[in-house]
This record gives sequence, structure tokens and C-alpha cells, in this order.
Amino acid sequence: MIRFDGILFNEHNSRRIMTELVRHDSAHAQLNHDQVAQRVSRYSFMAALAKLSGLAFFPRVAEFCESGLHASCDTGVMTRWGFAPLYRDGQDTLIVAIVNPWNELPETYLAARFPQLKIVKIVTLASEISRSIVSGAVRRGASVWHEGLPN
Amino acid sequence: MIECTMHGVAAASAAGVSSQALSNTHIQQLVEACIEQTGEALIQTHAASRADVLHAMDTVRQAQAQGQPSDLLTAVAELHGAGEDDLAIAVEALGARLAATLHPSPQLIPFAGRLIAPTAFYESFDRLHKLARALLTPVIFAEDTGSIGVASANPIAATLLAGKIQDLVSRRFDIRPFLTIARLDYPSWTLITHKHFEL
Repeated sequence: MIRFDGILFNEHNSRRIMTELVRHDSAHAQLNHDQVAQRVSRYSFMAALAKLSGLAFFPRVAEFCESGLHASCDTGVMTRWGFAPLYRDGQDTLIVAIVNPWNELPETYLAARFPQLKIVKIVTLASEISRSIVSGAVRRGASVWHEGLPN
Repeated sequence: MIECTMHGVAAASAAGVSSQALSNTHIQQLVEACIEQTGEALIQTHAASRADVLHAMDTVRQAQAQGQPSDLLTAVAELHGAGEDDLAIAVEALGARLAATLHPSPQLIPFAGRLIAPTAFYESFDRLHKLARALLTPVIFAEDTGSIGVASANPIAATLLAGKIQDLVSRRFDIRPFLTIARLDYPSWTLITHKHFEL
């Protein structure tokens, strides 16, 4: 099973990820699951996850984070589950950055806090989630350290 | 992502575009493919009548012939009477109709218009920059040429460009890049096309 940026993917999804990575670059066919984290770039890996889940991949999102949205969320939960609400588009859509498209907890968590909004997920790097959380907290003057450092 | 939305590229390939370098003729063929496929999708989704689409196509072709990039969605919206104040809403609504015909449906991501232009990518693929300009579809990021994003108010234009990028990058680097396609709202689209293409 593939472990990448602290996320362990199950056997089924690991196989799907490998198939996608090999389609991307045939040289990846030589890799074992435990070599993926060292040999595949973060951009390619996360883009593969996005493709498999039919979501858009964005390598940079932290700059576009609306810090006010984070006031409704627990920074510890966002860090642990790898998500950050980013942007409210008009009256009905909330764009959320996530790391693991197969983890449904972020959507469930956010749906309870923003019940009037349709949630649109995009995939990004784990480091961008951390940057979003920190920049959001800094702009709000809040602490992000009480439940552990973001990765 | 891109594999599921390649009908535009398939049609362009049938016109002899896909496997060759991007000459001015090929760019014109891709732009024409975009006009035709966008028009067909607008008719099929009942977003516009055939008469309106044909009229708007003429407007767009005339502008393109004068070297001025133009998009069918804007032309149709203006034909429908959208003024300056409501043009943004009208174009976005048409874009949403077209997006619904694609799978996966490109999402509206307004902040995609605020990403920094990938100048190194444009310099490396200057013909793609010319095609992107003609399709009014900027490349919003290019990471190691393995992961590339494009965005437009017209998701069919974005799909066509994404397919061509995948084709050219694959041939040059022997990898098949991952393509992200996003939709832009009208103000973001106007701003980013101005920045990327000096329009």
C-alpha cells in the first residue's frame, strides 16, 4: 500500500494510483508502492489523486484563502483531516481544498458548519493546507498551535 | 480529467491537427473546431437558438480573421441583449450549461484567474501560447510540465487547449501530463486574458 505525505492508501486505491502514475510516466512501472513517496513528485502524485476522483488539482491555494471561513472550523481538525475552506463564491458555493479525495470527513464536517453552501472540493498539496491554516490563523490573530503543529 | 472530455480534441484530430506541430493553419483549425463545438453544445443544451448561434459564429469568425481573439459565449450573450452590467452573469450561465455536458464537469474556480502566469512554460511552448491566446484560455500553472492547469469561461475552449497541451508535452518529454481544467467567472477571465495575452 502506498503511503504519501502521511496518508496511507488502501490496496485498491494504491493500485489505481499506480495505474495512473504509469500512464503519466511509463518509468513509474518499475516502482514498488513503498518507493512512490521518494520517486514521484508531489505535483504528479496529487494530480493523479485529483484525476482519479474527478476533481481539479491546484498546486497553490494558500494565497486565496479567506481567513474568515476558518473561524468556523477547528484548526486541529483541519490539520488532522487535511482540508481548508478557501473561498466562498457568491451565496451558494464553498470551495474547499483537500488532500485525500477518498476521505469524506472534511465534507461532512463542513456541511454541518456551512449547511447553506454547496461544497466544491479541489485537491492540493498537504503543505498548502498547512500554509492556508497558518495564514488564516495569523490574519485572524488566532493560535494554531494548541492542537499540534500543522505539517 | 482530460481523458473524459476529449471530444473536441478528437474532432480537431480528425481535421488533421493533432499529430503535427502547431502551425498558424493548425491554430486556425483548432479555433474553428472550438467555435463549431461550442455552437453545437449551445444548441443542444437549448442555451441558444441555431439562428442566434450561426449569427454569433459569424461575429466571432470576423473578429478572429482580424487577429482579435473572440469567444462564442460572449457573442451569444451580447446577441441575447446582455449589456455591460449583466454580461458577466450571462456568460457564466452559458459556461455552466456547457460544463454540464462534460464529464467531469469543470468547476467554477474564480481565484484560478489570480495565479501567476507560467512564463517559462509559455516561452518553452510559444506556439501553445499563441493557441491559448486565440482560444482565450490561459495556462494557469505548469509544475514540472507534469501537472498543468488551464482555465476559461468557455469549458470547451479549455478542453481543446488541454488536449493539445497534453499532445505536445507528451511528444517532447515522453510523459503524459495531468491536466486540470477550471472555469472562470467573467471578471477573472477578462483580467487574466488581459494579463497573459496583452489584450
